[in-house]
Amino acid sequence: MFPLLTTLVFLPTIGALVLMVGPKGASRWIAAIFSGVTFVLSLWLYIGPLVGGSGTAGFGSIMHPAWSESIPWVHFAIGTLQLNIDYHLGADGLSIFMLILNALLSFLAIIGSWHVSNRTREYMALLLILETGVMGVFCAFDLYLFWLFWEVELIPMFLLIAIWGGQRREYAAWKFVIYTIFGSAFMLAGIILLYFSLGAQNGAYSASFSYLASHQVAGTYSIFGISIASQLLLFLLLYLGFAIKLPMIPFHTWLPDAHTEAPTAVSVLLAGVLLKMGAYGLIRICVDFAPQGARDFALPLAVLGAINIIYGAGCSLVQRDMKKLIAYSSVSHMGYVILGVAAAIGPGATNPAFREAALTGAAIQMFSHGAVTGMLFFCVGVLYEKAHLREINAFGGLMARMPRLTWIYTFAIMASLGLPGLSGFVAEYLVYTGSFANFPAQTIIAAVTMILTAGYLLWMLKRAFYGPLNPRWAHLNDANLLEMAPLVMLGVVVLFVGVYPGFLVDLLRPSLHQIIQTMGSLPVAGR
Amino acid sequence: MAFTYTITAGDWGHIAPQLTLLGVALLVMVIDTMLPARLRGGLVIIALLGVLSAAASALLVAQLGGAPSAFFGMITSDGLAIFSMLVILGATALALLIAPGYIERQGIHQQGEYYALVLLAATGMLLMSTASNLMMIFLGLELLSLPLYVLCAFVPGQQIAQESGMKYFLLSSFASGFLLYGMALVYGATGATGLTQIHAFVASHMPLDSSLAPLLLVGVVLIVVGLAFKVSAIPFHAWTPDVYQGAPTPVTALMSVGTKTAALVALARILVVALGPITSQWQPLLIALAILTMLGGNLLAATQTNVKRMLAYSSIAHAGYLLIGIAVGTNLGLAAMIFYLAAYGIMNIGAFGVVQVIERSVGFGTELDRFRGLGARQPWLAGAMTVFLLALAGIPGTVGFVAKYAVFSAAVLASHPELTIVGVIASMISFYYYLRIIWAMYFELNPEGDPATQGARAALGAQGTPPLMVESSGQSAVIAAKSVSMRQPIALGAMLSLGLAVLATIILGILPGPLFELARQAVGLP
Amino acid sequence: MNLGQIAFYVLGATAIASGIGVIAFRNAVYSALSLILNLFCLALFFLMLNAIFLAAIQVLVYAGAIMVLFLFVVTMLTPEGGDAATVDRLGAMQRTAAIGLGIILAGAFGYILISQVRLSPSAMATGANDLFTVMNRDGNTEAFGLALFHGYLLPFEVTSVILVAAILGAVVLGRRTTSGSGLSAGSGLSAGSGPSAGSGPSAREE
Repeated sequence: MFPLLTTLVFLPTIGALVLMVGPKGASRWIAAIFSGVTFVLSLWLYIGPLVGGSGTAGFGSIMHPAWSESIPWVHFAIGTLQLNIDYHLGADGLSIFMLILNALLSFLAIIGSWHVSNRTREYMALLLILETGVMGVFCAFDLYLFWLFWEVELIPMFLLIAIWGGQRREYAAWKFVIYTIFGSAFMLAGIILLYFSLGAQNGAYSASFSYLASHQVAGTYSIFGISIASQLLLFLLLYLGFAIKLPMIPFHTWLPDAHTEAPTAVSVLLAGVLLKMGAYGLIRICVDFAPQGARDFALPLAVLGAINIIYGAGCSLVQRDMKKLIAYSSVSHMGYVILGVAAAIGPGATNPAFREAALTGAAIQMFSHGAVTGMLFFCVGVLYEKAHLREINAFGGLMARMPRLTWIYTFAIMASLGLPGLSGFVAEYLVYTGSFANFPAQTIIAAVTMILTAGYLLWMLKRAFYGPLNPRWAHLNDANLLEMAPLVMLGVVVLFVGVYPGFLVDLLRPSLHQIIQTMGSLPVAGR
Repeated sequence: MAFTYTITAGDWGHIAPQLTLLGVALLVMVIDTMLPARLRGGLVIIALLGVLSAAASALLVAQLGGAPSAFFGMITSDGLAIFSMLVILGATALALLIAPGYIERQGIHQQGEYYALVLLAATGMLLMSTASNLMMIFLGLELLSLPLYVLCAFVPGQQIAQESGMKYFLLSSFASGFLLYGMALVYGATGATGLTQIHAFVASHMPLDSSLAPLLLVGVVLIVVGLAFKVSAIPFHAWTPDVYQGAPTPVTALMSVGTKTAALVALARILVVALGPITSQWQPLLIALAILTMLGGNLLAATQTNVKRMLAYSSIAHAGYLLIGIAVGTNLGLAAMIFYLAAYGIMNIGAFGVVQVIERSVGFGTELDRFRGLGARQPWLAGAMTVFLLALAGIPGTVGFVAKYAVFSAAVLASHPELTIVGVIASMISFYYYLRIIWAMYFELNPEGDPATQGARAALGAQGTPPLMVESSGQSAVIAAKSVSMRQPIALGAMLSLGLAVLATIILGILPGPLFELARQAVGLP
Repeated sequence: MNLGQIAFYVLGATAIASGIGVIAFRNAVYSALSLILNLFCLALFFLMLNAIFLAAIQVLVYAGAIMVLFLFVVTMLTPEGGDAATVDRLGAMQRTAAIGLGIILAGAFGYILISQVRLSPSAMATGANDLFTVMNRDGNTEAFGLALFHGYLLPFEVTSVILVAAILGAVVLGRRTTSGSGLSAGSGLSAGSGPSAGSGPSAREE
């Protein structure tokens, strides 16, 4: 069988190598071709199982992913010290749609970076390596491999911000790296703990996802004399890494800095896929491998999610920098993911259908936010490229000079604030419906925040694009075809998901169903 | 006659490695007086041969087997003893190999005394790690410390070296006082200084009654404090950076590995072997020490700008990882610890070896600046340093990773997840300062017009990542100009030592099985 | 309270006081004299434990020969102010740490005293392999000799190796000062004899 996943992961790296030896002038084209081919191939992840005949159930779950490749890699065992790491890639519904999103956004990021002229070759190569790292994260089916890719992604991201960023780029890059490493330290501790606890408990040492999902750690750990449920500790350790990436309050402070300083395409990727790594990790790793721990932590998680939503919106309201505003709106929007997951894993004897709705909403929000925020950042990027300014109040009446950009920007903002018919609505609606049963108060807070969301987004739109034209910007040209291309492509995706969300729901159903079943089988705690 | 003691030849045979080293130390002193000055460089060869034959006799002792204890329970030659002796002797050999170039550069005339003292210190380390009686542990400690005091202050006319020796002497005597107090109390409580007898006594008096417990426990605490000084565990670490920085680098290398090995093995024997029945009593103390040491060592190391000092703090941090092996109180923990000691010996002496080549005078010239652009100036040296630093950081593929993995897994399997969690977090912190040195060696260059820079560019191109230019002012040009002239010749011995260490770091990183198997057998695991 | 206990407390108080005197006196000669008193008290302790031979040796070797030599060297060679410089360099932090640890130590010992902990009988009676019986039968000195050269032969030999190392160290440090900056030979003792002799020259070098 053709190793599709391996190809998807390493084709961009090959592209980067080709770039380094290829002619300097063609680097944009080489990068675009490689990422484009990766994108086209990634679509087969979706089409393949459908063509295969087993229908939408064929996407599989964590136990039986639709796509799976496994090669034994590191195996050494000396007595009780066993280290087994397999090169195990897999993709079920949850992975597939993130893989496709990543391939799409990476491709668009390269097209959107056509104007980068400072050391283009290295820039493009790093973007491709970043794509490899993220692809690896989304389709690693071995926990150690997952962590490895999680770290691999860090290096290109650091360099991209530190070299091509704005004025405070080094500060932002270091902040990003230090936060992430801090989180992944805890994550690695959790991984080792999980691996050995499970190994000691069952006698078999493996970090493969199917093994971890089908065997759960039992008992308690005693730390400094305090006894703590093993699963809760594991959940917290693993989640800390993801919480920083998501980002969850109070670990979010790296995000506005990184977004503001990063070049446009990198911001797009950061918001579009890197944050999703945190959400993906939360669902795939924390919830799947420590379900009881997740349930124990569901209430705090829901509260934190609600705080995320309202705090992010409040911060957005007072921003003057367009990019910072979008960054904080990301914090707010990722809060819906947290809330949705919390509702799906929450205690209480909720109807499983509500759980599934909440989880589906959270997953669709991941996709929707990736596409919509990508659009917003591209729009700001186009504007910044021409005006070299992102101050909202400095603009005004840009509609007159750049109607095309204004229209697409308006479209993106509508999607972001959850206009029915666009993808944001589907996600948020599902989250609200699903989570009301479990966490009514938090859901109400989240729903009320929609007003704030509409407020800051529309207010920004009004101040920058409508009203009388500020004569200072009379020389600006409208976005050209190249700049519009990624925007339009993303717009189509957003519209399609909004009008026909069924295809995403079908894709996700088998994987999410598995999780809901696991959660349903847990003893219901009377809280 | 009540005393039927007779010392047999077998008894002396058991301490053959120690005797060999001692003999060679005396031999070196005698030959030193007879050799003309220009031939004294050859003394290192005699010393090395002595170390090798000591290692051979250690293997012979292991081969011959027989009763593991000699001199009425003063000395043991069990697996733990043999393994730790080999680690110490290996470290001594590597440290001797890097010494000649250094001695030449520093203008040290008393070579005979230098080698003799190194060998005497090594003898003390061997005695301490093979001792099975509190009294022998103390004497071994003194025998290894005394020569080290002098060696720290060996380079004449350097205040920092004098200070180093003085500080080490003062604080170490202080620690010895604690240790001796503790031993006296344990003796008072149990009526024995032999570890086997102590074990028998404690095991037969479980649970400890109120008349015995305070005396014994205070004694144990004081012993732990005394030995914690020697392994430089936080909060008893204050002497380490100053002493390590001021001492001649080959001595620092020996000290950081040999002393630690001897003291940790002694601590393991006292706690895990002799006081095993009261594990739950001393365990919290050790856990606290390990956690403090891991976190504190790494955090303090991250703030250093002098590489030698940074390595000193890093060795403190590694003492923390090593203490995990004792703190978990299992045989697997001990196996992991001695494996870690072997790994640590190789990579740490390697790192200090590189520092020694770079260093111009005692305690100076090891600033991070000296490492800037080393990758272009001396690619082989920088490559070796990179390997050692990555190993110290615990990157997979190096022996450092396997060692950390073994220790952490031992902690989880002994149900002490907190040690694993803190250990992993601490090692992530350590990435920062190890990588900073690597960064300085390869990435911090003069941006324009320097042939060295272009070499680095080419190297970077192969890796697919562009160099991040940190320097941009005219000042950096001056630094770079100096850098080019700072090229140091590498002495043959140092080259050999570094080469061996690099090979061992990588080979043991990829195939750790046999060595770990040895470590397991050394502590008697099936 | 019997006579032995009274003697113990008097001796103990004297020993502690003289021990404090060693570090408290600014004048090195007084310190040395305190040390002699302290060692003498220890000799009396040994006597109370019926260790006649050890007591005699203690007086002869420590309170006698070594201390007289030490005193001799101190009076001849110690420059004024050498001690103060050392103390200052130790720094306030170490002093507080020392005080803290000292309090802990005192507390621990105090607790043991208050809680009426008995020594294990075997510690007093058997020591090294039934020494007590042997001593009663063969006499103190003989028992000591037998223990030292039979059961404790290895520690005894190792001690001599330590002395070799100490002498070697003293030679290294001593020869350097005479050949080097022409300072007094006092630092030669620094390896073995303590802070006062060792740090003087190095402090003045700068």
